[in-house]
Amino acid sequence: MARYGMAIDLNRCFGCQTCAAACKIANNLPKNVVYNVVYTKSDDDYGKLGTAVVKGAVANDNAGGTYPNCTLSFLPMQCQHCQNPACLDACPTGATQKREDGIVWVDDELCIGCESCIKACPYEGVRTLIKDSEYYLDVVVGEFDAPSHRDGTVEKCTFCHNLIDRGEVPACMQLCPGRARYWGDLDDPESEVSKAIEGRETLRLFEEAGTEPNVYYLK
Amino acid sequence: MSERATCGFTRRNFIKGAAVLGAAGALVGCSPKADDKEAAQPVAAESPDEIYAGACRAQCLNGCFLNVHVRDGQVVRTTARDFPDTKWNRICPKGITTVARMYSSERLQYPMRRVGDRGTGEFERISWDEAMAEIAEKWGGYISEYGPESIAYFLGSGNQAVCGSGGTPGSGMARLRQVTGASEIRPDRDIAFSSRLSHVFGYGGWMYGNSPADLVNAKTIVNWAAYPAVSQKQTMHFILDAKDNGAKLVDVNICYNTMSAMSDWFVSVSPATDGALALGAICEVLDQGWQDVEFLQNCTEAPLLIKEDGAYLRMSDLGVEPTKTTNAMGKEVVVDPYAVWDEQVGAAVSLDEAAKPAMEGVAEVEGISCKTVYDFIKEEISNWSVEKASEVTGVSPEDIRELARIYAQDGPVYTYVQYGIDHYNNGIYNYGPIFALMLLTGNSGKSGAGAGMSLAGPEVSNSAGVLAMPDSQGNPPQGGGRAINWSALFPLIDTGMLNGEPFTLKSVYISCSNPLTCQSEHRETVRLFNALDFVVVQDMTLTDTALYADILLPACHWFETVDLRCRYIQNPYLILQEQCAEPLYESKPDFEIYRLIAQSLGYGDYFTMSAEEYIEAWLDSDAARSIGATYDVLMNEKVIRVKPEGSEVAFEGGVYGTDSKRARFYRETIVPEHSLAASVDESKEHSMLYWEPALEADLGSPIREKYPFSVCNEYMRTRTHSQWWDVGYLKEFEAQPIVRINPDDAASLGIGEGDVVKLSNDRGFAVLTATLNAGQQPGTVHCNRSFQEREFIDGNTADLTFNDYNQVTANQAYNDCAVAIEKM
Repeated sequence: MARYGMAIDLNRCFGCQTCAAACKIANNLPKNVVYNVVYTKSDDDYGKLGTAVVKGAVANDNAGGTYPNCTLSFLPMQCQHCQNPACLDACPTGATQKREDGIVWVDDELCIGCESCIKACPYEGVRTLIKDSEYYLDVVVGEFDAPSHRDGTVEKCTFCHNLIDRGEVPACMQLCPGRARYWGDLDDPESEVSKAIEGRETLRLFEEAGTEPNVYYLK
Repeated sequence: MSERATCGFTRRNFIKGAAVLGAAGALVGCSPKADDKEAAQPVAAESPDEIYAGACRAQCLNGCFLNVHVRDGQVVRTTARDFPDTKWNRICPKGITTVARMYSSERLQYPMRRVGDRGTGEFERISWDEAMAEIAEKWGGYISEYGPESIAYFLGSGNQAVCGSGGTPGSGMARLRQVTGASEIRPDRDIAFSSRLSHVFGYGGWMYGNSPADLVNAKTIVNWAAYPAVSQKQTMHFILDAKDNGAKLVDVNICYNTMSAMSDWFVSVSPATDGALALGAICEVLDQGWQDVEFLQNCTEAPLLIKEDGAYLRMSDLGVEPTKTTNAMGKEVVVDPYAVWDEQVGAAVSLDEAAKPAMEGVAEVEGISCKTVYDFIKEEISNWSVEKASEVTGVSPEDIRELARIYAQDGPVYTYVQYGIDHYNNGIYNYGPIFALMLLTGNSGKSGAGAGMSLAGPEVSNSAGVLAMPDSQGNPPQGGGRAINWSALFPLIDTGMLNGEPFTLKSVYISCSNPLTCQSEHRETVRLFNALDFVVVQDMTLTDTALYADILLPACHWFETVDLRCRYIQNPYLILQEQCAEPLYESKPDFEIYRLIAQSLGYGDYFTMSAEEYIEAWLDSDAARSIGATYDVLMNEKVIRVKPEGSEVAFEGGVYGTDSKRARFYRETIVPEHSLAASVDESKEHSMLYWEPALEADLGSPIREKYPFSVCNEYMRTRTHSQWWDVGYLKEFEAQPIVRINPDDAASLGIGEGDVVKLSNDRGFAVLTATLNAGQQPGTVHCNRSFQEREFIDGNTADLTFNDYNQVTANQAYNDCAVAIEKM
C-alpha cells in the first residue's frame, strides 16, 4: 500500500499562491475556509508559521530584518497527513480517519464539530469549523465530488482523495509554477516525491510533537 | 469539440476513457505519475466534466494554455493543459480563478445608457438595437460634420486575441478602425523599453530577447529591476533551473523582495538610478581593460566614425558616389556605405570591406575631422567614475566594481530586464547604459546572454492582410485616422489642436481596456472623459472606465466564444480558445459587437466573416505556412508552435536589426516619438550612455523637501493590469490597496501596521492601509497598482502620478512619483 506524501522545495517556492488558489476552486471552498495557506516568512524560525492575508495579515510578501539585510521566504502549509496523527485519537466520534494510503480525512457524516481535532493538532490553522458558509460565487465550482462544507463539521486538506482515487493529482499539485511541489508514494523509492527528497536536507514541521508528518520541506 | 475528462490523451491517441489511469495532470512536469495505482484506494466515479481548450488572454505576456472544465454547460474549473513541450506548461492564481470572472456579480448583463452624471454609475437598460441605433446616430452625425477621425478608438491590451481584441496585430477592433476611418489613441505604456531597444538593437517591440529556455545556459543572471515572481511567474522555474545548473542570480533592485531573497547577491540601488549604476560599471570595465574588443569591432558600431556635425562618415564624404538598389519591399534606396578606418590597409574603406576597423585614435580622414564611436564612448564615460556612480546610486564603489567584474568575467550574463525601470521619466536613460554595459562586455547575441524577457523571432501572421481585406465588392477599407498620444489628448481638448493642426474629438470608443484605472494622473483622465461628447465602452464588467460610458456594451467572457491567443511573447505557441459555454445574459463576443457597429454605420459588408474565418485569414501567410501554422493544425492540436526549438537566441552571432546590422551606442538623427515637448534638447539623445535622474522618484530631487517619499506603483500578483479586480478568491492574497513602508520611516511618522494613511501631492491623494516592510529602502514606498477607484478608502493612487513625458519618448511613468505621507 502506498504512503502518500508531499515534498515542497523552499528554495523554489516564490509565494505565487497558485497552489492555494487551485485548492480553493477544485474544492469549491467557501470564503472563510482554507485548506492550503502560503505563509510569508520574515525570519528563519520554522517553529513559527509566518503571516498570510487570508489569516488576517495586511499584506503578504513583507521582508524582515533591517534594510538591506533582510529575510524573506514562503512556507506553504496544509494538513501534514501525519503517520501518527494527533487528531485521530482526539476525535470522539471516529470521524477523523486515516486511510491505508496515509491520507487523513474527516467523514462529515460522523463529524459533530467538537473541534477536538483542532485542539489536538500541533499545526495551527490547517482546519476550519464550517459555520455560516458564504461563497464568492452564486454557482458551484470545482470537482463534482468536492467536499460538502456542511455546517458544524470540521474540514481540512483531503489530499484531494477524490482526484487521487480516479488517477488524477491533488489540485495543488496540478501545476506549481516554481516546480517546487512533489507528490507521490513515500514508500516507493522511484516516486517523484522520494526522488525529490533523496539527498536533500529536509525539514518536517514541529517534529517534536511526534506526529511524523508526511509533508517534507526541502531546504 | 470537447473531450471528456482527459485532454492530453486524446491528442496523444491514448486509450480513451482510461480515466482511472488517466488525468492530464499526471503528465505535467513535476507531478508524480500514479505510481501505485494498483494499491490505490477504491476507484472513484469518473468525472462528468467535459474539457475544452482555452487560453488565458490577459496581457501579462505569459500566455497560459488551459483546460477548461465544463459541467452541465457551466465552467467549473481551469487547470494547466499540456503544451506539446511540457516545459512551457503554465498557470497562475489568475488562470486558476478565471471561473470567478465568468460568474462575477460585476458582469455586465445587457446594454445600458447613461442617465446620471458620468462616473456615478447611473444607467438604464436598453436593447442591443437601441444601443446600436444611438451609436449610429451619434457617430454618423460626427462623421458627416467632423469626419471619421472625430471618433477615437482606444485599442487596449485586455484580450490578447485575434478576433475580440483591440491592441493585437490584425485584431477585430483594429480592422473596424480601418473600415470606419476612426482615429486611434495610443495608451503610451511600457514605451521606454521598446524605444531604447530599437535605438540600440534596431528592433523594437517584443521580439528582442533570449528565450526563457535559454536562461539555463547563463552563468550569471542579473535580474535588473524586474519582478518575475509577481508579474512573470512562468519565467521563475527557468530562473530556478538555471540556479540549479550553477548560475548565480544577482538582483538589482530598489527594494528587497522575493527576487532579492532568491538571489545570491542583492544590490540595493536608489530609485531610477540604474543607468548611473551601469555607467559606473562601464568605467570599471574600461579601466580594467575588460571590454570585449572582438565583439565591439565585429558586432557593434564602435568603429564607425562620427564627424564634427554629428553625422557618421560615409563613403560619399570620401568621393564615392552613392549607388541605388531595390530593397526587400521593392523600393529604390540609396546606398551610401559607412566609412571606417581599416588598420590593415591604412586607409578609409567601407564598413563591409574593412578587415580590421580601427576602434580608437582616428582623428581625421582625408581632411575630415572625426572620431570613432568607441572614442566617443570613452569621452562620454570620462564624465563618470565609479565613485560618482556610487554617490548617485547609493551602491558602494566595491559593489559597482564587482558588478562590472561579473559582466566581464562571469558570463555569459543574461540580463533579465523588463519594465521596472521603464516607468520613469528617465526610463530610456536607464536602459541605454545597461544595454551598453552588455555590449561592451559581449553579453549579447549569444546563448546565456541577451536582455530578457521575450522570445526572439518575427511575427508570422497575415495581420496586415486582414486589416486590408476588401468588402464583397472589392473595395478596400478607407484606412484608419491619425494616432493620438495619450498625453496629447489634454492639450487637444483644451485647444482643439493636435500637433499644431486643428482636430475635433467628439467621441471615444474603448474595448478590452480600462484606462480610467490604468492611466496615470487619474484626475486628468476624468477631466478628459467629462469633456467628451459621447463615450462608448465595451467590457465584461463595470470597471472604472465603464462608469464613464454613455453607452455600455456587455462583452462576453473569453471562454464564451472562439478566438486565438496570438501573442507569443514568453512561450512559443499560438493558442486556440474553444467556445466552452454560451455567452451569459445578453452579452456578446467582442468580435460580434465590432460587426454590429460596422453594420450600424453601413460598413457591414466588411464584416461578413465568422470568427473562425477571421482566424483562418489571420493565419493565411507564407511565414505561417512555412512553419506549418495552419488553421487545420490549430483546430487539431489546439496550439501551434511558431517559435521553433533552437531559436532561443536573439540577434544570434551579434547580427542586429539596425541598417549596419550592428548594435548602436550612438544615434545620428533624433526623431522624437511624440510632439508634446516644446523643444527637444538633442544633446541628451545622441548617446546611449546619457543619463539624468528621474523627475520625482530620484532621492535627490528638490521635490523631496515637500514630498519626502518616492512611490513605486508596482504590478500586482493577483491582477493583470486591472483584470481580476472582481475575483473574491484573489482578495485572500491581496485584500486591499496598501502602501509598504520601511519600519523606521513608519515609526518617524507614527504609523503602525494596518494604520490608515494618506499619500498626497499636488495632483491628488490616496487613503489606504499601511504595512511595515523591512524590505523597503528608506524614503521609498511601494503601492500595488491596478485597484478600481471604489476599492480605496478615499482617493486613488492613480491620482498621484503624472502625465509628463520624456522629451522624446511617450511613456506613462507610474513609478516617477513623490508624495507626503500622514497617518489619518
